[in-house]
Amino acid sequence: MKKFLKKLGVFLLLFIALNLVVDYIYNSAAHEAIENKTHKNYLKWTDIHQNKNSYDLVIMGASRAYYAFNPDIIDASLNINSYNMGTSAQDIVESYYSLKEIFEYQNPKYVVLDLFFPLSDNVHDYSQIFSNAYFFNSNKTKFELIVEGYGGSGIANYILPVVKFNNYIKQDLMGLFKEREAIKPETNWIKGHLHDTVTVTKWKIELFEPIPNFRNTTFDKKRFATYFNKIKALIESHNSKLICVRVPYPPSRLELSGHDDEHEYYSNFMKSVEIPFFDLNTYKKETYYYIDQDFADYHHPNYRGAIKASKQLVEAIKQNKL
Amino acid sequence: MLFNSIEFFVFLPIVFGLYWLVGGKRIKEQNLLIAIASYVFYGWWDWRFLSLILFSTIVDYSIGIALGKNEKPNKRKVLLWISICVNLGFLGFFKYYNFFVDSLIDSFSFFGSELSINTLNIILPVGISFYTFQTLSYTIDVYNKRLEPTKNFVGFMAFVSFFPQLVAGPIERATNLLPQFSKERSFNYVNAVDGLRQVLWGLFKKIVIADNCAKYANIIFNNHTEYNGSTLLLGAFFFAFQIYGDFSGYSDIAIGISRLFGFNLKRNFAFPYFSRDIAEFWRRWHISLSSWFRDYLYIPLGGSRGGTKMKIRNTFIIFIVSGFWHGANWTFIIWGALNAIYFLPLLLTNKNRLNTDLVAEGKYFASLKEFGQMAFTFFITLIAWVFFRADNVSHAFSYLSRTFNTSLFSGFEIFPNTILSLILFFIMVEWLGRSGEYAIEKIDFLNKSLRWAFYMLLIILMFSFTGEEQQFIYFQF
Repeated sequence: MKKFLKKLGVFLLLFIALNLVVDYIYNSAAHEAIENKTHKNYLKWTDIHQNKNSYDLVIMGASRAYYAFNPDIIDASLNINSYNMGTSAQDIVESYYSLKEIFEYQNPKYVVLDLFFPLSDNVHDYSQIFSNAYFFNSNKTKFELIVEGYGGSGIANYILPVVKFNNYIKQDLMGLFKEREAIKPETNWIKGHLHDTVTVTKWKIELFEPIPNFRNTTFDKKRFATYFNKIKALIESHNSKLICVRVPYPPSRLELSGHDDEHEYYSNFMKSVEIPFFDLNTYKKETYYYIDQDFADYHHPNYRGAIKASKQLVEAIKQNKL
Repeated sequence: MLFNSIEFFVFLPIVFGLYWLVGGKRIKEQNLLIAIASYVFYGWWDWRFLSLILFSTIVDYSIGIALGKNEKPNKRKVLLWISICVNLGFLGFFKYYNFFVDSLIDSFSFFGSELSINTLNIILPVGISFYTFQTLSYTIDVYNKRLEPTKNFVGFMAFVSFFPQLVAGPIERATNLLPQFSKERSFNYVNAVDGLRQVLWGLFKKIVIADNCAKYANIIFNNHTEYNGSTLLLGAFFFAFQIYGDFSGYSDIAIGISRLFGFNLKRNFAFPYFSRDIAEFWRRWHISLSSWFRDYLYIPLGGSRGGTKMKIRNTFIIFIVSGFWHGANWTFIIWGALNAIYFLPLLLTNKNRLNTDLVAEGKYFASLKEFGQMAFTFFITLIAWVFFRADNVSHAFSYLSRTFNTSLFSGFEIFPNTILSLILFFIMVEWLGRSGEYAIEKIDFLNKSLRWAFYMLLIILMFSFTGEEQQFIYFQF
């Protein structure tokens, strides 16, 4: 038994060492960015924590949200102070706990939530989730996010870097056999919005696949409804107003997609909970007509798309007297 | 509790530690610990169904004792039938009630009359088909005097509910497993290391192979009208590896864990996709179930001793019952019947025991003939798997008719390179390790550092290619 336990111990030590190596490899760039004050989530949370009660409108959602909404345009049109708190791969659970943290420091009049199916599917990018939660000041909220929000899987991912970074390890393993694309540095940030001047290439347009639907995602309706209702209750308890939107997709992708499950599901759901919902693919389509060149890739609007999307949001708020 | 869940990774070390702390000489205490741990393991899913296992345990234990005391053939027969009726009664109610009601309603409506019977919203207790067959084997063996009835209730309780194999087998015979609960167990280093290695390989099969194949099998099967023939064939291929990785992975984990506790379970899979004919396939696939049906159904029915008609009848019975055991759906019955059709020509020409040895034993490569035989056997198995996976019979026929048309020769519409590379890696390891009980049993030929590097590689692959967590397929049976 002693020999067995000894060997098991050595094996566990090796496993811990493997985790430390993985943590070092995949976290060192983030630590460096924090030290240099260039880490996007660090910058966003610093703005939220330091500028107490100064934002009237906060935008939540994943990268599609922080690409699409430019606070400068919103502020100039509505004469308010807005901030884009969209973070990479943010899902509905993360949005809820992020909002809990935000309400500790801000008292926004509006919360804009961008919706798309991957927001509540069964695939989570834990490295992004924890990279966001890392900057919460409230340890209680951080703990709740990990334990209540993601359960055992959240705890395992938090403790074990080989689990947390599994997507990156996988990409690197696969990258051994194919050429990797160069990653462009994201530097042009405007109050949480990424001002991207890249335009999607024709070659990439040809590779477009249908937009998220019930078939190609693992969208979890129950999970979505649970956390959406929590978000709604939280916002209402702070006398704020929730506005839901869907950031547009490149038209070539929409053409490939046939039935639009996302549009139908969110329209019906929001009607049932009486929350205003604006699908920017269709809202005031005659004025804000999107072309593929308004996008940086298959689903992120570039600066041209962001101008249109931000104006659409402004118009939605103004015209509906929200 | 799933073997690939975090709860289990906490549960197992605790039970393992307590078990060996109690010590191998205190058999009663160890058995009690196993029984309690097994009930916790099962109750984690739904504690209400623990009463079913307990009831089944009490009934078979009492009948076993009564059989031991009674020599009158009629009375013994009555006792045996009580056990069969109770066990199969539970199984029939929970698993087949709705199927029979629906089929009855359909039959009546076919003849133009209406029948009004309500189906029930019944939850199928996990693993009921497995532990029912295990307890039945005990009563039948005691009845046939192949086994002395046990007087150790706690040991019997632990035997019925033994957590490593409770919910998805291997279906253990009382003659093999029950005596192990009465023997002193000592910790064996070699067995424990080997057990852990088998657990690791089982987890790799489940997490990397089965769960990743499941993703593509589900997409293709659920939307089969939108894909061409070659992609549909690929969908069946993914399902073949999903079910193999899933079920044999579970068996490996169960056998490996049992070895950590000093128990030896029977082998359940022996590299079935390297079979040269369907008879060999059935000697290598779900061995514990096939042999159960052979010993308790096929042989009592006369086996292959009678004339041609009897052989045909018995073959169809055993395969159809085996299909029906998997689930209350006509798809499983057709799957069973199809396998009987595959098997019959071999049986009738006495070629069913032609390939009992290991394919290409001692060689790196199979001969062209062996390769052709393996490919053909795999192909016909693939067609049968379509029925097994399909939602209903018309889905299966539609899937097959869309597969075998001219679009079979067009390019694949889905071709996930990474997953296919992982399957290739898996097949290679299985091929190289096919002379062992499981693929990496004989990895000792590598030196220690290479061996450990291989284990680490498996672990990294497991964490990196974790598919969407799927419940083990055989839980539903």
